[in-house]
Amino acid sequence: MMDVPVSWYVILALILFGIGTVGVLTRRNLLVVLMSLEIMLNGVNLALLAFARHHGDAQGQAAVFIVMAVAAAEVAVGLALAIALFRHDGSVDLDRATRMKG
Amino acid sequence: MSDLLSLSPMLACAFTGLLVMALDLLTGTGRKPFLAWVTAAGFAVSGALALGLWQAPVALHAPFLSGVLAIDPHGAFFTGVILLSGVLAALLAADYLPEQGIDGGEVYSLLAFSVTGAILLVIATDLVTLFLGLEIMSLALYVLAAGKRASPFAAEAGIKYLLLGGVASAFLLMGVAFLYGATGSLDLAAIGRLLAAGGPGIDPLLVQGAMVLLIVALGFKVAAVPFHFWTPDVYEGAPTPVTAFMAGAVKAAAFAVLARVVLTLARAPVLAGLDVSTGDLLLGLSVLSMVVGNVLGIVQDNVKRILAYSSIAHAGYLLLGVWATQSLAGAPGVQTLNEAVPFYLLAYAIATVGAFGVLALLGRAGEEDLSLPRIAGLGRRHPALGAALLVSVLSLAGLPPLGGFLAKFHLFQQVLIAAPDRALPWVVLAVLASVVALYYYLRILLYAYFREPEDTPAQAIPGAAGTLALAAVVVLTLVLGVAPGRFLVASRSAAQAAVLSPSAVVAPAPATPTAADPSRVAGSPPVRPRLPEALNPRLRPLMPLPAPSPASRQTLVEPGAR
Repeated sequence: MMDVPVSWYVILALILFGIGTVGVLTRRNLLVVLMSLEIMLNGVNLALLAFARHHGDAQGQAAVFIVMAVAAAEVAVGLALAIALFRHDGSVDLDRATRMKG
Repeated sequence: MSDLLSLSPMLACAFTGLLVMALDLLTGTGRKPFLAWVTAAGFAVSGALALGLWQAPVALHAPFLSGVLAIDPHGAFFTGVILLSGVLAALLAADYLPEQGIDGGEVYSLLAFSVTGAILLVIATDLVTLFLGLEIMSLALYVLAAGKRASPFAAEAGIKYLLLGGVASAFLLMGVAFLYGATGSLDLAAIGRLLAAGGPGIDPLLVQGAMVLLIVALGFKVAAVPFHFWTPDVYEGAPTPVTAFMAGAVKAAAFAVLARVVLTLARAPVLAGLDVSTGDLLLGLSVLSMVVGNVLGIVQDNVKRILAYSSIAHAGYLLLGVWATQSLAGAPGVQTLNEAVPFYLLAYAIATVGAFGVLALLGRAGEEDLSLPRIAGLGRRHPALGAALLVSVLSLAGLPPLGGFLAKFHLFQQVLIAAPDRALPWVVLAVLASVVALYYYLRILLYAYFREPEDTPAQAIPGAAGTLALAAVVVLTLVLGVAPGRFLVASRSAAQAAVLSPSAVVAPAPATPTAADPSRVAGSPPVRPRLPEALNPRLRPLMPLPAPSPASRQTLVEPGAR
């Protein structure tokens, strides 16, 4: 098997992280924003896995499971808040959720 | 001492959360404030345990705990600040929530879980555990911020907090992944030693990237400019006792972690000699926070938002303290946290909880518009509340003889002592910023004391719990201002313990680490050697993975130097 250098994985992870960041900052639909947040965390997971393999160490892999569990908990809260927002606004459009300013 | 006993302050909080959840099922409608007293009692027990058991560093024996949690004066001091804010917030909520028609015990259990996470955060030294603590604290707060389900502002506050908190967590994790990639360890103390030793296998780009990512992530959490934009909205939309908790406990926990992470990593030679050093980043955030926080505070009309910008400005003063490190006693060359910072956080947390607490007790049902004209005449209509507001706001403004004055004076003095050659212009700026801040603090008091009430002034909620909390705030603020001796000593020992594993100080950095380092050549990632296993006893592969390169087997620090 051809050996893929660790830097390639890390660059891919950073690209995913960047896509997620841009998504969170620019998209207006709350569900898409939550999805972008997941992409950011998946970028982190890929980086952790690549480094774990590089170091021959299992700690990084264990960390990935913890990150996945926490991300799931975060999305659960996020979706509950999306429902709360939908009840008030009738949509999950973040441009409408700007009552407070300044 | 067994590990369970050593960790009992944190476990007591978690148990309080579970107990309140169970009691919630047994308590009838309208009797939920009883749960606030249970929560406050749980926090008090936890605080007493922390005071009793965590005075001196405690060793943990279980293999899965050593190197993961560190119980030292640093963690103990900030645990105290967190628990104090938690007690006050629970008592304020006892009066506030029934008035707002929130009749559920889950607020108290979520508060207890949030406190548990915050304590875990300040005693964690393993980066994944640190992340878990941050998330346990934050997830409970996202829900708490949206606690007033009838209010559209609350949903908006919860969403904003969740999204920006989530981005901050992702940045933090990316920083953790970078540090893991650079050193092969997730133990902050071991990472600090490895970086200080500066082995050939450490990629400077990864370490520098990690530092920036971590400062950005924790900048979000401490609400420093330019990562502050969620703060006023979340503080305004959240239930006021929850806002008080966020402004007090969460900021204290975030600063504890920021100081510990930055100081432990900052000794890395690969971070020296950069165009923009870690210190410059902190100083930049500090100056921006002081200036922007205070200037935007002037133009606000809602008291909650004024206090939110005040909290941003205070993050600026505190960052100045984190920037001006002082040397560790008995370990020349090691920089640790400025001894004024923990004390400042304590004084600030008490005062800000007090100010938000007064607002919480002004929140009659359905009329939570707390613009300045609505508090007009407060001093005459409700003298006790007015006095509490006076003491809290003057302490935030930093006027003698209150705790806030002493904290600010001590902070600026210690910053000047720690960095006599560079600090003067920034301290002058901080003093000027404090003077600007006087405008909006005094504006609150002007309305409260010298303006005639308008047609529908804000009415106070009567309540024993909230009154007790505010009385405690007033007494503590005065004590901190008049007899601060013991607190200053505790603050000093907390600051001295902030930096991890100072024992393994290694030779100073090479003169030009960045220019001469071949691993910085773009496009050619260096072959990174495997780390010596002696560095980290937990670092053993569980499965066969690619064979390590034989290079670099030298021991960088003495084994077991932790």
